[in-house]
Amino acid sequence: MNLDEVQNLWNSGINGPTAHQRAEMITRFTSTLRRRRRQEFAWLVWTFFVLTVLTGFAGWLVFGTDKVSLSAEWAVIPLLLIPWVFACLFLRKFLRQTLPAARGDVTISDSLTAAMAANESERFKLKALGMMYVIALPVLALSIGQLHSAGKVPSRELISMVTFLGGALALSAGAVAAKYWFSLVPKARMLKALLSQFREPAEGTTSPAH
Amino acid sequence: MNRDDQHECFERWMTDHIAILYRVVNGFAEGSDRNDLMQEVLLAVWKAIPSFRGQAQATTFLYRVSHNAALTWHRTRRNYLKRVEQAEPLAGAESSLPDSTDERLEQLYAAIRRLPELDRSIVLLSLDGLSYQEMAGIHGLSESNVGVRLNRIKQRLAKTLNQKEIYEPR
Repeated sequence: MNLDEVQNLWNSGINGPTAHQRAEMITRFTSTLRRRRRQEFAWLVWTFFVLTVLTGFAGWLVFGTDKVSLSAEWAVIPLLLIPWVFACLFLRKFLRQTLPAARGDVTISDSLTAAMAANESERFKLKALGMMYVIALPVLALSIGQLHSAGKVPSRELISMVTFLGGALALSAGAVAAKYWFSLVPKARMLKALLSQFREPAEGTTSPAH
Repeated sequence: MNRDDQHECFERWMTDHIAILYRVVNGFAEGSDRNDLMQEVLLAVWKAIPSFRGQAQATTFLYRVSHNAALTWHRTRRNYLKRVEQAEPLAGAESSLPDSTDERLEQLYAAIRRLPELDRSIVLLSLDGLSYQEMAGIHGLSESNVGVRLNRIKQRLAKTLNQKEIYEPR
């Protein structure tokens, strides 16, 4: 193929979607988007419903009966609040427009650089979180040991406490590690490789515009 | 910008400019991957619309978003594509060209997909008729850098397509 043929081929009517394909792509996308939005909304409604029922039940136990003594077991209040905090964060994310990953108001080079910076920031935060898990594990073991020595935790409950708390800690640490190694690190590698293409100089020129 | 405005803008842009996205997707993906990438690109455009302030042309905005999405999508399948390319060398590159222009177009896209990602992006813009200044503005490169890269890309494409003539840069 020579120049004219390549350009003619490129500009030909076959190098584009037909009217039917165009309509189908747009329809498929907008219906997928609307379906996702409806699913997120239904999930939020269900979550708040369940939280309300559970909180209502807990409130009845605390204030309507004498099964829970607030003066001794006040930790039930912050423990009840934690899932509400997460639910509100999800609601905020649903309502807000998040910053898009691929932006059109800046150059591709700047957009990739910003994505790399965001990736580095997130990896740093996860590393810090990982350190907290490393510190929390011996502290937790020590606390449980102390409670047992002080007679607060009977032997029969010790194993279940260790299993439950240790398991929960290990599971969440695993999730953090998985996100770090299987999501953020590969993405960082990809972005670095892409940015290096922008930075490598073409012969006889300087590479970026700024 | 409320959601209705976002929908309206999206549908208007897709009616006028979806061919841009179509060519980007074909330049970065093949086979059934095209559908996946098209959905990714459409989602990227949808999410980016609220940040459109009219300071640049809609086409410039769309080129930036679609190429950005394609560049970052493609890389996650790098190992798979490497294996595909090693196992299936560009078909027909050294044989006579088939009569069907559809196949010739597919050969052209296959040759484009063999280029490094940034080169691929630049040549797609060039074929769409953008000037060096426009291409530089989209990528954040200097015009001279774009010019030199484009010459190199065209020579490489020519070699892949087994063509003798190299077309002059604009």
